[in-house]
Amino acid sequence: MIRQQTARLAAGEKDRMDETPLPKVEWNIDPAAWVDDHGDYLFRYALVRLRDDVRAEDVVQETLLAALQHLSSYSGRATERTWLTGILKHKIVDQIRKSCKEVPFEPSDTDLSEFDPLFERPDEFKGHWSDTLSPRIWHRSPEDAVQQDEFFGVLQRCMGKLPERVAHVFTLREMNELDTEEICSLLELSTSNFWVMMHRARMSLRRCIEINWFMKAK
Amino acid sequence: MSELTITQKILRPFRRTILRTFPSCKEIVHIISASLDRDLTFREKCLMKMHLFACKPCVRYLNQSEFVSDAIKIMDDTEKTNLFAGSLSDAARLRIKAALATAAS
Repeated sequence: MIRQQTARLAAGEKDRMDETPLPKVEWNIDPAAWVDDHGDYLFRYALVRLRDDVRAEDVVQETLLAALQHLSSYSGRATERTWLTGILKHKIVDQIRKSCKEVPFEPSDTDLSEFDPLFERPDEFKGHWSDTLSPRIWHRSPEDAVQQDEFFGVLQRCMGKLPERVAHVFTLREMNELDTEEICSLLELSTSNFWVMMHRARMSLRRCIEINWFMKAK
Repeated sequence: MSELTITQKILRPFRRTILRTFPSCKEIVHIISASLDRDLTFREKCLMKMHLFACKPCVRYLNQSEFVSDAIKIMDDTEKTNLFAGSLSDAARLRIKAALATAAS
């Protein structure tokens, strides 16, 4: 008990000490300028993850309004943009949950038959890669690709081609780095459907990027 | 087929037997995808290792899928966000500014 109190006191003191060099002045925060300073950045950040202009605009608005309400929580230690991006991340997850509730789960989301032609062969090796549609040797280097801005444009377009729920599952896993259980409970998915959708996203993206980047001559 | 090296010639029958006897690429790609997201079971690990020894396209599938996953993580890096196309529409800009002004007053 006493130890707890001392700890709390010490923590309190630490807070106060931290505040001394950074007194509670206005951090030159100007909400009116947020839209012009960070609006496009936040919009792009949301657009990559939501793939929908209207939804992306909505989360930017929600984010800035939430930020305005919680101005006092801004410590001034992070940059204004990092702080706003942090709020935006939560709003994006909320938005994804909402949009997945609106659209009922469709069996077609876990349908892998679009890949059947990739595994059709005339010979005795049934179920193995087709000679013409199997993963190719990439003629352009992957290290080089990530240095180029256009590559990320291709990647973004390829993600846009995924069915909506599949794209959401993949984005939450790979970009927001939520774990499997969190995503399944957020989107009310069974684990087996989750794995099928992740596989579907990986198969489609690899192939789309191969066709639209690695097989194209420079 | 004449370009095969001696090692490749020796290994060829083993590879073909693996491909004929054990699960096909169509099933193995599921395990390969899963290997990027979770720990595989012992059985899955054995099947995958054996298959990758026999099958070049599946090795490419693994490496290239890993690359896609890494590229998405780079894309997640906030500094890269400004590379993407898109900006707030003028209508949205005005609407958000108005909403902020109302909330602030």
